[in-house]
Amino acid sequence: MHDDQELSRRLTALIRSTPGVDEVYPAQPILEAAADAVAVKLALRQPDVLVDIDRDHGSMTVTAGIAANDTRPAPDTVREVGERIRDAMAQRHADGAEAHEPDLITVAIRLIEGLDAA
Amino acid sequence: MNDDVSLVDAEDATLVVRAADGDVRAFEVLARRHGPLLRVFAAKMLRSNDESDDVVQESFLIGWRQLSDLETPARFRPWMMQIVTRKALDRIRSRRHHDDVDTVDPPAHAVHSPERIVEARLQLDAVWQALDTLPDDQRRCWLLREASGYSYQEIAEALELPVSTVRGLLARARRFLLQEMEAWR
Amino acid sequence: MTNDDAAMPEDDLVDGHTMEELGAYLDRDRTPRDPSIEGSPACRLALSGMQRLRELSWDAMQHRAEDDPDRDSAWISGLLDTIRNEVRSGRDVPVDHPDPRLRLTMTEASVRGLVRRAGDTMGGVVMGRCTLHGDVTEPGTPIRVEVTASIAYGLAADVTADRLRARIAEVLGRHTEIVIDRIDVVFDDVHVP
Repeated sequence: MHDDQELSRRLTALIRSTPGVDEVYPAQPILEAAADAVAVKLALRQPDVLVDIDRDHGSMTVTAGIAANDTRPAPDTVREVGERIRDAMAQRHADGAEAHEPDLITVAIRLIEGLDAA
Repeated sequence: MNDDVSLVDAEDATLVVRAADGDVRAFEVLARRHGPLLRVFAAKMLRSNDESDDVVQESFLIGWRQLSDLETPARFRPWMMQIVTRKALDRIRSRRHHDDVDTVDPPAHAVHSPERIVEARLQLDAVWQALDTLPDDQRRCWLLREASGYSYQEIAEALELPVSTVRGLLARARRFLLQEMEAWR
Repeated sequence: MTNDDAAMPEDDLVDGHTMEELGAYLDRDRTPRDPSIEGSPACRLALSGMQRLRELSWDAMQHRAEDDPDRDSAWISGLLDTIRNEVRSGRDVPVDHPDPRLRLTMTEASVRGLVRRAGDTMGGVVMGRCTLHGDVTEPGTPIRVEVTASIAYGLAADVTADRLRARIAEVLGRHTEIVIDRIDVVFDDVHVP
């Protein structure tokens, strides 16, 4: 859905601007692989449209992956990301842009970086 | 940061153990360390830099995925060499079967141009350039034997030739390269 | 002189042996020993020439590789991007949140990467493997962290192991909600600092 691409773009930007977030990743690895893995190209994704919005049988889930850095504890970072997404979707619902709010918001930290010398 | 420095100097075995454990940085060091030689070899087999880059990239990806199959972590380089050889041969075979325009065989003549070779590594350069003047089958036989360590039987299967032909091609290639080598002694 | 595919002259023998024979003999690592070849100076000269040729070709490849101007070209960044996306995430380690609609996790791979990084930035060790034993998906389960590492020559193992344990505990405490049962450190290698 065209709208979902725009929504994903906005959520991606929102996540990226959260303190403690280094980078946004596709929610799960997307690759096309034959049984013996000859073709190895990553499915083309626009780098700013990385949040997955899934509408299935009337339910909606939002899924994202992030890289967190050392500027704050990673659990705090991922909590804030989840809350930002939740609050943004609640606002859209209140504005009438969404029929309902997501049933599930999943955010996974896939990488923690930025540790310096002890 | 000191940790990145220590990775760059780490032994292959250490890097392989870490990469098998999921450490992408360690694998990057391995790829940068061994990539250039594998690309040189692949380019010689395929006579194409673009294809050799593809082949080496695919091979490292396979290496990453199958890293836990490598029983002796220190033998990463020969193991990758085998993967690159197989991938290069796949390409060669698919070219043949698709009747693609094969690489144009250069006129085979001895390379005696002292003006071009001015460095101390006269023999090295002479041999390396001489390889390019060999017909494809001779060059590939030679590379599979000398660089990839294939047996005659394995070369025969890889290039879809009879073993007797492989022996003859090898002998011709060696004879020619020896002449080139001797000319620069 | 040309080197085309015409048949090699049959009379091109070295003391009664063809180049084919001598090449095959070399490729068999000169076993079983053939007295007529080993006894012929001309044959041995040809063999040592072929051996030298073999060594030269490896040197040539090495030199070409070192001269490679495209050391950091596109092939490697594309490769690394793909690989990063494929790192097997492992199990999902939960991060607590009171709102049941939020499912927050960190991948096991990210935790193991964190431990590795903690050790690498400590000084004196180069980390190897990291394994998390216990059900990391269940909050509150005591987890045993097991790591292998190489220790810098000259450092005391017990002191360094304690430092490493403390460092790992500190980093895991900051960035995860994992309850640590114990941290086992095995130094399986030594390196020159």
